[in-house]
Amino acid sequence: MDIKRPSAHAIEQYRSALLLSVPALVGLAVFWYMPTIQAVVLGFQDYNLMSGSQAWTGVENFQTAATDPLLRLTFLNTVVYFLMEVPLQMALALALALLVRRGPAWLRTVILVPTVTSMVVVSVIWGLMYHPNSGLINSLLGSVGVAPQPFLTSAQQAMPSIALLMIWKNVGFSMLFFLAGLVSIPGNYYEAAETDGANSAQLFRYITLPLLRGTVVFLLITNTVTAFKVFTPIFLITEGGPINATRVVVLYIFENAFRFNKMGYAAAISVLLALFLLIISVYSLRVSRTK
Amino acid sequence: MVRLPVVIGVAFFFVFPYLWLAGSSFRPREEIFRYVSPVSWRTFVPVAPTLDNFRHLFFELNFGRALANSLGIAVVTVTITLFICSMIAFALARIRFPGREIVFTLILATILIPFETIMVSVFLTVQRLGLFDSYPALILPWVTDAFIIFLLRQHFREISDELQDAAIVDGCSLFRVYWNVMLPNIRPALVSAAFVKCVFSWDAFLWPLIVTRDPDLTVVQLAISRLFTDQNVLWELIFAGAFVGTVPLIVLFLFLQRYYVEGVVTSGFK
Repeated sequence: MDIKRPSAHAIEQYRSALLLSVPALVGLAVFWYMPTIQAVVLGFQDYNLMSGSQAWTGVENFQTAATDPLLRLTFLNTVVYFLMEVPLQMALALALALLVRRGPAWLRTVILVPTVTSMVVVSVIWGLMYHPNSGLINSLLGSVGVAPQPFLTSAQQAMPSIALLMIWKNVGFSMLFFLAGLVSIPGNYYEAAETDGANSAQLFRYITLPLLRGTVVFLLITNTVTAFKVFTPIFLITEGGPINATRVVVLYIFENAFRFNKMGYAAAISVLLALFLLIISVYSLRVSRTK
Repeated sequence: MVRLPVVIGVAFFFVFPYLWLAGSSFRPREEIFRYVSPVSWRTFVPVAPTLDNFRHLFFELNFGRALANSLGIAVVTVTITLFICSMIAFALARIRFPGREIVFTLILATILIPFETIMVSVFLTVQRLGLFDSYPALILPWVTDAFIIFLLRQHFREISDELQDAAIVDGCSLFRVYWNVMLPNIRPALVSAAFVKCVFSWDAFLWPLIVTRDPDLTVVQLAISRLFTDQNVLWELIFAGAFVGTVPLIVLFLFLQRYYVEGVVTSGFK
């Protein structure tokens, strides 16, 4: 009897755990795990959405991907965007975190407002602000004597313009994590260093930065993934132009799937992108651990 | 305290688009263009404020429908998400069962797969389920959220074992423990999760763009984007639409900022 009772209790527990988990697990299976497997399968197929015809094509989609000059360009564009957005955004976020910590409380609120503003609204408002003749930015620049800039219509300026609006929108997120990281640094570290005669630059270099390394790695990974997913501002404002200067990977996936009806090819590119991001994330985690 | 000009400058950088957006949504088109340059107070403050833009949006462009759709979708999404995610989070945090770690790892693994890389096959799944162009298509893919499961699990874990043991000794089933003891104890985390999910749901654009055709299913972001990509871009309507689509969330945010910050930082949600 004594042996049986706990096991009945345990079975009761398993049953409850199972019942409580089933809805979430079904949801994940239908909308995450199965689509993930299907994306891989689809990559080896030719799938026509209109006719519903499906045919195995082996590695053809991946071969096309390897030689598609437009895919190469979109990937390079995405890397360029990543290089413009992520480092600057994180540096700015750290600077803002340091500022907000010693500044008025409302400043944090103000910096966070863009993070709760929708991507579409941010895109359309900045799209209008960048307007060469009637946009607010050129008139602000004009008031300090800078000539009007073409922004979105120039192949050189379009991508930096997109990166700037994304920095404006996302920097609050990164700042929050830096703030959390700063709070967790014990105050007596600074006091000890100050009694040893360290100046504020040294405090930052030898205490703040090293102790924020975990935060930096985490933000680097999440911001990188976010950067490689960029879609909405480009879809709405530049549509990949001028002359493909802002055509990025997710836009290309979207176009192949839903404009050119090449579901299989779109899936193949998606798989390559997912693998690429996975490798980057795992690699950065490992590097940060071994260091 | 830091120097005031720096604070003002930073604040201006984040605020000026909203000033322009808010001011312009209350003015006729000619006035927007007339006062944009040179920059003065008139650039941001309407000289002759009007509600015409909003009237046009709601009475001629059926913008109210899009707002109602997004509001309804957000409410339903948040409610279902909180139920489903808190249930499994409770199981993962408070019940010992074989395979618990594997299940948790599998859930976290979904974070590594960006939605954009599986949107094609999620689209095909939705189509196969016969849900294309329907409200469930806009809701169901989003109700299991690994970030929120993670967030709630963290909070369930912090509750003391004694509380649970005492409830079980009193004869509570695990479901009663979940519902009557644990959920009330993590109320702040539920508010965080609800608001973060609400922001996410309100923000939805790419997915509704793919999965809906019916004008009656237009969500607010699609409605705003169409004002912008329309052949004849009407600036005053874009401003008014963006204003209406943004203000509710900003107001909510001002009240729930503490919960939002907590939710974002704990879950790593983006």
